[in-house]
Amino acid sequence: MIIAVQRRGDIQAGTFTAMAGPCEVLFEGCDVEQARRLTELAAAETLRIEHKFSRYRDDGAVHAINAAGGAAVRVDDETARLLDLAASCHALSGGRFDVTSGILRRAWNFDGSDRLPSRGRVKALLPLVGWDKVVWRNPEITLPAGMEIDLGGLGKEYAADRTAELLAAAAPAAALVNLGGDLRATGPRGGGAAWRVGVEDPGREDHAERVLEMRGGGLATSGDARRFLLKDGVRYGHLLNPRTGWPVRDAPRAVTVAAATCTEAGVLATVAMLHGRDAEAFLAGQGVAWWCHR
Amino acid sequence: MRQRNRSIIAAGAVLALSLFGGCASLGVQPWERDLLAQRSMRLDGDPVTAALDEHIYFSKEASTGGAGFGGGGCGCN
Amino acid sequence: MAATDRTYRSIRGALSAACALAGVGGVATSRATDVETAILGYAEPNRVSALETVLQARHDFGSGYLGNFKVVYDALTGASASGAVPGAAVQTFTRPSGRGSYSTAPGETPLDDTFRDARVAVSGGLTLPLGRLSTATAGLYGSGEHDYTSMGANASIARDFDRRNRTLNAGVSFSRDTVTPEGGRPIPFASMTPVGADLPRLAGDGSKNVADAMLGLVQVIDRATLVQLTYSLSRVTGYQTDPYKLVSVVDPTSGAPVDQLFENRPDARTKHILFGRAKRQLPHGVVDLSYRFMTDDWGIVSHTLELRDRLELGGDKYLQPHVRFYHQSAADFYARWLLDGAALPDHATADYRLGAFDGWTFGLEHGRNVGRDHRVTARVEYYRQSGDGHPAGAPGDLASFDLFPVVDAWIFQLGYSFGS
Repeated sequence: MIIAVQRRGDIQAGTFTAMAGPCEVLFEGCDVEQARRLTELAAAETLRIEHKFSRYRDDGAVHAINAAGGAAVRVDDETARLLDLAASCHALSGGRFDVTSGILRRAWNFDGSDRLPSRGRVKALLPLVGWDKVVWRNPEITLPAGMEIDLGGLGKEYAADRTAELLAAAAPAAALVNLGGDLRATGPRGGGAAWRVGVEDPGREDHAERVLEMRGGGLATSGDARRFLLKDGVRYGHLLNPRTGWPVRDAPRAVTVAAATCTEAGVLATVAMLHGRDAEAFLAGQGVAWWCHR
Repeated sequence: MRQRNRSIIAAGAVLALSLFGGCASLGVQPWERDLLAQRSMRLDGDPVTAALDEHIYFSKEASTGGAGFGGGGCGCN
Repeated sequence: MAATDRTYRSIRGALSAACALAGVGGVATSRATDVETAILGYAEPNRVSALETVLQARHDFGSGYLGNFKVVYDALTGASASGAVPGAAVQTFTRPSGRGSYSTAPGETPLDDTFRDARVAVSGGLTLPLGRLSTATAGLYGSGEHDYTSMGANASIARDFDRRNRTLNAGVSFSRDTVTPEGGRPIPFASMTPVGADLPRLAGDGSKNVADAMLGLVQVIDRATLVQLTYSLSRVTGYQTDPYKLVSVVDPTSGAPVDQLFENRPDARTKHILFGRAKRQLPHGVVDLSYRFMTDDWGIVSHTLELRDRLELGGDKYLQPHVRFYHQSAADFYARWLLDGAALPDHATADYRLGAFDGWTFGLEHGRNVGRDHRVTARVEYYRQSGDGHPAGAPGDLASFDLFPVVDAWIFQLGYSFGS
């Protein structure tokens, strides 16, 4: 694994690639060697979580669940906690947040083109979508044959939180974890100062960065300016309604939320997107800081 | 008398175990904690009043404690 | 464009809880301090009155570390039943210190009017996380008044099970109390002597050790219901006699007091306590019901039933009626009087608090928020203790006296608390 550490003013910045994107960890009060060791620690934890919960690796926990062919699978404690969280998110979002909806990507390829799938093709996949069809009795999960779960909607934010918690224990001072725009700070910088982080503004296709200030907690963004289809002047964003199999109508281009943890922020941002035209109304009731890009 | 007390305690323990030990259906999911999270539902929601009451009854009655640890004092009045 | 006037309920609180269960959120950055203060007035008409002030601070250091600190100051003054029986003639009693005396009118319950004391108690504790599901708590306690000191320590651990729907906790506490009565401790069963005469005294201070162990369970039943069950074992060894209390020796025929002896209690006591509590959220507010059963090897059995019903009035205001019923049986060695000429028992006390009685409490509390994070409360309670004033077998004059006068008490409390 390639990691790099460089000094930026009075902080050390470590970078590595994971979770399909650039990752960055910032440390205060470290020399280069300390920062390198901490970056290695952060990269190892991030990759561990990526491997464990990736749909694509055939040695991870999620793969074992998806490949069981209708049989019950016993899961470890960490996977069980994430499945509990997935169940909570499904219930709290009124069924909008659904980790079984990833299978719809067999019909949808958001490559910026105008190639919409046929209605029949989408409809044929719907019987394989729905968390309510899953039998989850901790520690055993049973998926009906053909169904799949995808914890990708939680995994990156979860990794940011877990990595930050590791660093909170290991680093001499405050640290900030940035996994491709999903952020978690272990606390404010020395003297209560804020971390200033440049986050790609997903609402703008020119990839301009916005500078945000964070003193603690998590920040996450849902939405991707590059993942959409455009046909007859209608933009189809990549978030799918698990009940219809079609993109959520009138969804914002991106939603950014700041909350106590990155996972919480990520779920709120995603659920806001899934509310479509009501995203702002939903966010306004949550008591968190948020930015919505139309 | 002491024999009877011992059997009351044993019966209470058996009742408690059968109530909570074998019941997997008790409890709530994490998203159902909205009411339980309220301050008025906390068991230690009013510690100052609880401690003041404990001190009054400690001074006036022969029984103390039970719910947790209380402070001491002579209770001499 | 999106523009709706629909309002959505917040899922954030429940989501935070779900995230915490998933193992994230352990490095919560919320650091908060809660401060609670209260002043309580306690008054038994014609007997004791007390004023008690409390300051408690709890601080959340984040990462699951919690600290608390409490200071209590109380001042007590007034008269308390000495244990002696009423007499048909004026009775004169030497104060327990041996300095001065007080007199009691015929038929009146003798009240020792020398109580005047102030107590300062300080306690502090720290809770720290042990992994994701367990916590450990340790605390220290100390209090002092002019004739009594108490020092104690406690430690407990708690662990959550079944998605934090069940918590088991276990703890121990130990304290050592020392009593140094003015003038020294009277020798048990020594006769009260006239002012100026030397009362035989025990050497040194009286001390006792209190060791407690408890095992508790808290179980979430459903979305609105919570139950708690706790068993406690308490062992007290050492000097437990009240150096200020008397037992009257009366003439078997006339019932007239012929002698006043200082009381004598066993030096060991083992208590078992079973405590159950349920809290349930109803449409109008929270109902809190508890029951405590206590039994000990002094022969006392007690039952305590308590109900609080919080009525939410809207706008962060509430009204909370409170009812408490208490009943205890008498200690085996409780004797309202001793008969002249009969052999002395091993132990005897006439302290009504070790006799059989019922206690009723009726109270009302009102609380409201004033501004964000500031709360005020006020409560009034009435407490009444009543026992058998005319026990069977009372000889002579005693049959016509009320040997267990009702004790009434009023409690007033004002509280103010704020958190950040």
